[in-house]
Amino acid sequence: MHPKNDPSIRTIRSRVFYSMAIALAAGAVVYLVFSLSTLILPVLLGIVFAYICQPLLSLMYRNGISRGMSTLILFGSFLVILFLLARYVLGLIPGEFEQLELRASIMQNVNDRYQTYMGLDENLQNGNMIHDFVGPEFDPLMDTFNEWLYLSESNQTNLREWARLQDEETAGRIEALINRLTTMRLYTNPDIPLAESLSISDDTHDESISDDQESVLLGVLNILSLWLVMPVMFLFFLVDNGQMRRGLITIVPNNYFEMVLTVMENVDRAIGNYLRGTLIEIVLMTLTIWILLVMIGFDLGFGLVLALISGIANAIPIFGMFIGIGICVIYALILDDVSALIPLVTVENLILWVIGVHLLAQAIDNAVFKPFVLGKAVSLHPIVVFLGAIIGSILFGFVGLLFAIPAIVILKEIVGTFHRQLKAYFLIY
Amino acid sequence: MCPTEKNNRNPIWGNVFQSLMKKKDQTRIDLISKIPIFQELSQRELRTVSEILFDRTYEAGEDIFLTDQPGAAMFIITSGRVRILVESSDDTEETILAELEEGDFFGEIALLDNSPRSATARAVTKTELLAIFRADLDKLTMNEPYIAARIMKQLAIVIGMRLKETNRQFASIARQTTS
Repeated sequence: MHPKNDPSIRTIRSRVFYSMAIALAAGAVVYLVFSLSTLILPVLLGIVFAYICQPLLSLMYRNGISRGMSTLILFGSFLVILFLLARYVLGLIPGEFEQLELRASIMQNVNDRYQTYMGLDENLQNGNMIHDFVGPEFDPLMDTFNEWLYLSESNQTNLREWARLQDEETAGRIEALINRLTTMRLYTNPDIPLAESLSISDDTHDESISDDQESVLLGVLNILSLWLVMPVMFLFFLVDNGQMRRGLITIVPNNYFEMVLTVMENVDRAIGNYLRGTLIEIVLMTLTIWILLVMIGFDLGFGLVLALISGIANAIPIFGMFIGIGICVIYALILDDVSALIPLVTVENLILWVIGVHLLAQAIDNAVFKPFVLGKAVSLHPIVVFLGAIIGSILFGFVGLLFAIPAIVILKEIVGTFHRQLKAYFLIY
Repeated sequence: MCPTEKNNRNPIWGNVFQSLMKKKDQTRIDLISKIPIFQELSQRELRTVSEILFDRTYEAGEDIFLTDQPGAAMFIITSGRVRILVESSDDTEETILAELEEGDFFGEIALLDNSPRSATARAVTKTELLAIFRADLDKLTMNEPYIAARIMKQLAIVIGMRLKETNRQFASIARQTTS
């Protein structure tokens, strides 16, 4: 019998062919995801931004702007925002000598705060009750921290020379900072000065610094070249007018045609709602944290950057808040002086205020923003959220942590809708 | 295309646009322009509509959809024949309601709501269909309300005609039963 007259053989061959094609495609996707893991974040962000912009594209189209022009306007705006953001962030990165000053400044401020909280005297011999209780654990940590940040002799000399070329005020400030560093002692053994306990030679330290600078430059270039993928993906997905969906549908067997279309539509709606909800939540949380940080004395510009990082990190359940607190606490440690709108805030208790700000923002988020903005979009069990975030971070690091929950939400929606539709189309019981 | 039409075409832009237009797309546009619900649409509007249509091919005897399945798409026959039928409650008997051919469409109620299919559609011969998905028509209503309104109007006219025909058949059966 000619093969075209025997439908059963053709059906079997079709099934074998499609199964092999799907298995190969799945294998290729898994291989690419793991081998090109550095590209995941820019690619995903490009897709996410394109997805978020789809309603804007439709809105512009409805208002008489052609699809091509709408795409061009959105892509242009996206590039301008990226450029301005990159310029602003790069402007915030300190230069070589500013970095040295920052290290010394952080070291001084952290040690001052530690000594204040622990009630330590000048000789580091006697502390308060807190020190008696937690000192044995924290003193070695502080020594390690100091050894890590300590400026070598040559770094101190370089910093002094640079400061002299600036102005008198800078020179005086740097001199005071370096004097403070050189008089520091070990917490675990206050008789020994910190400088003496360090075994790092100047040569190796300098070498490591120059290596660091070189690797930082290369790293920045690498990151920039990787992130060029993001606008490309953004444009690619913005230009797509359902062609990808139509391409996918052509390989779907007739039995599943309507069902797959319905699943795709439901999942598309769920992802859209989730992403737009998350974006609105990020904006609201950024504004809330920014206002609260400014109220406790943070600078407007830095406050906005820190609030933005905290707002984005907040999208990561459980761990997000700690990332926000950590970054703001580091900034609070750098501050020498604070002029807050709230009278009780001082440099010494600023860290507690930072933690308070984040806790208050979390309370507002849980009570007001989440119920209104996200609704029931994320109805995941807390243990699923926790395990998902852990597994995501183990597999893909920070990217995994950031996208684990959206991935679970999408997967849950796909499996749930598929199950409902398979039953509705009498394909399963 | 007649020679006169070919000669009248702009020698520069006519060729450029012709080369840009995919042959398959133009064939599909020509095809849907003959379908009653799309007859009032211009070439540009037909092209917009053709972008939301899916091509499906069914073998002879293959079910397109079954009674009581959720409906999500309307189908337009581009070649072949389709039988619309209802099965008895024990699935032993089938009553043929209609046999449709090229240019006809069926499953149109799915474009209006998500109620289950009221009948089964089965390909009689190898059949090629164009499918239009409800969600895509909803999006078209948002983005191109003028096009969607005209499709909906034509759809309403055809559904109205089919309802009139059903009423006529029902009245005829009722008369036969009473006599």
